[in-house]
Amino acid sequence: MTKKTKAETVDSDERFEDQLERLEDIVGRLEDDSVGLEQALDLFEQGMGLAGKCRSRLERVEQRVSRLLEDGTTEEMEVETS
Amino acid sequence: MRDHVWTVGAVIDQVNALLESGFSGISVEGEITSVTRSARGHLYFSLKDGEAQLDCVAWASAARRLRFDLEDGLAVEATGSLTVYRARGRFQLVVTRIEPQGLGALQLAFEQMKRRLEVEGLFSAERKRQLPAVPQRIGIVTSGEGAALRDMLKVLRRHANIEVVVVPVTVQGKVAASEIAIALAQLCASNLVDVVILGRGGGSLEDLWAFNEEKVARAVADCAIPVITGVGHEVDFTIADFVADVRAATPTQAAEILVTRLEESQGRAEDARARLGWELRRHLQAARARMVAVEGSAGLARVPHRVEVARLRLAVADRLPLLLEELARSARHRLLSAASVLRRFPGLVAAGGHRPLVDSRAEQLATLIRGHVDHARTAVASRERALQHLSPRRVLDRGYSITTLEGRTLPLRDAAGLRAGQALVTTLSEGTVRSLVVKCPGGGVSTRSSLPGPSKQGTLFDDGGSNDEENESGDGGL
Repeated sequence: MTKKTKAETVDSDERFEDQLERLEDIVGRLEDDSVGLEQALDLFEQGMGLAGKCRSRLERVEQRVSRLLEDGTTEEMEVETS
Repeated sequence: MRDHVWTVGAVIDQVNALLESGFSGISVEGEITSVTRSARGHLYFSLKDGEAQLDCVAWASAARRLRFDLEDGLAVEATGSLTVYRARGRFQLVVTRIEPQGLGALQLAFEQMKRRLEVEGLFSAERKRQLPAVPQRIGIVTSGEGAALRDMLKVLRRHANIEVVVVPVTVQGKVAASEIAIALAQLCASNLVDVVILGRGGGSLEDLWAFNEEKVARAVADCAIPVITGVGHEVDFTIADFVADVRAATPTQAAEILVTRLEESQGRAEDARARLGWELRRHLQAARARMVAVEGSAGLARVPHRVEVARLRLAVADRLPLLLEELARSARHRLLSAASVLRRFPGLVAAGGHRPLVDSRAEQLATLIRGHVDHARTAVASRERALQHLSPRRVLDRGYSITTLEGRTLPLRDAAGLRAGQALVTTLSEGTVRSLVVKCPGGGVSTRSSLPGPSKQGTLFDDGGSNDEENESGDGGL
């Protein structure tokens, strides 16, 4: 059995998960009342930055259906969805 | 008597001829034992029941067609012809077909394959990978014509941000396993997708057989990208399902699982984003509320005065304890000296009759102390007044100045009553300034040539000050 190698896609997927977790962590910290206004503003900025990255990652791909050819290229594929 | 004498070859041939007529294409049931395989692929084994044993051989061509492995102890039904193998004189059954007893051949093969790969560890939970959190690029290996592909695409198209790469394959028959294995390898190597669906619509065990073949199982195992299988119906479990990272009941469900996962990730991100906004707004509101509480609205303007009053009160309050302590100390001192005096005249105390003396002494002391306290209180009160009187002085020290009309003592507050040419005296923290009014809101030029005298009102400082010279100007004083 051959050893599996990590595809590039796995790395970027981890990055998204990581960013999402950090974002959720920041929200958690903001929920604390004792956080001062200065710090709250700082956290907010950081959080918005991460949220922006997550959003653009999710919108990176557009809907498309294609067929993989023998030479490794793809061509648009028509399939009835009756 | 001498009968016909056979040669070895001839007698064997004769027996074979007899066997051929009566024992061709017979079926024998028994238990398999002693299985060996020659280099050329011929299978040798024995069939036995309780008491008897029969040697068997399946030539390579027949052995290849076997769908399952021959195992010791397996109960089978073998079909073939009895012959005597000339070169060895061995009596054997030349087998053309074997069927397992009890289980169907396919089912047995399935069980055997499953067992073998499981022992190898291909099904173990540790090997299975998580589906990607953001499965946006999805590969599908399935038939190009079947309903499975249509159904999967219908589900996937519900989501705007999903890209699909399809590799159409044959999904049953001799070539299916190879095509599927190649397709999986291609997709994995292409780097075009984050996850692969291996799918096929429903069918019989025979129809789905390709997904039980070793080739496909190993292709799924070797795939670097997570594979989710959706083969047949809910109840169908294939070897590929066991090896896959995730098994879905049907192809449609495989697609659903991925869409749900993508939507979950999106939901989490959007939710967190919204909560960021709410939390910040909450902090801002709290901060604003705190500021309003401290400032008030009119309160803001009066702060300096209030601070001043507070400061005065504090100054007085500071002095009082000191005064009282002084007082207590002196009282204590007097008591002690009184006590030492009394000690010098022990007779006085012992006599008892001199109690009144002591009492009256104590009485005097008490009065003394009371007197001191009263004095201290008065002193504090007068100092308080003085401090208050002094406060304008503190105002001057801060850089403000007090302006009066020359000769008057009341500080000017309203510029409206002034006329050009009037003389003003401005008292600074250090020194005074005499000046003339150049221009004022009233406009007008003064016609007066003499200056008005001091006003009737009391002076700023209680120095017995100047008083009542008549006010010439008749403008009602200031």
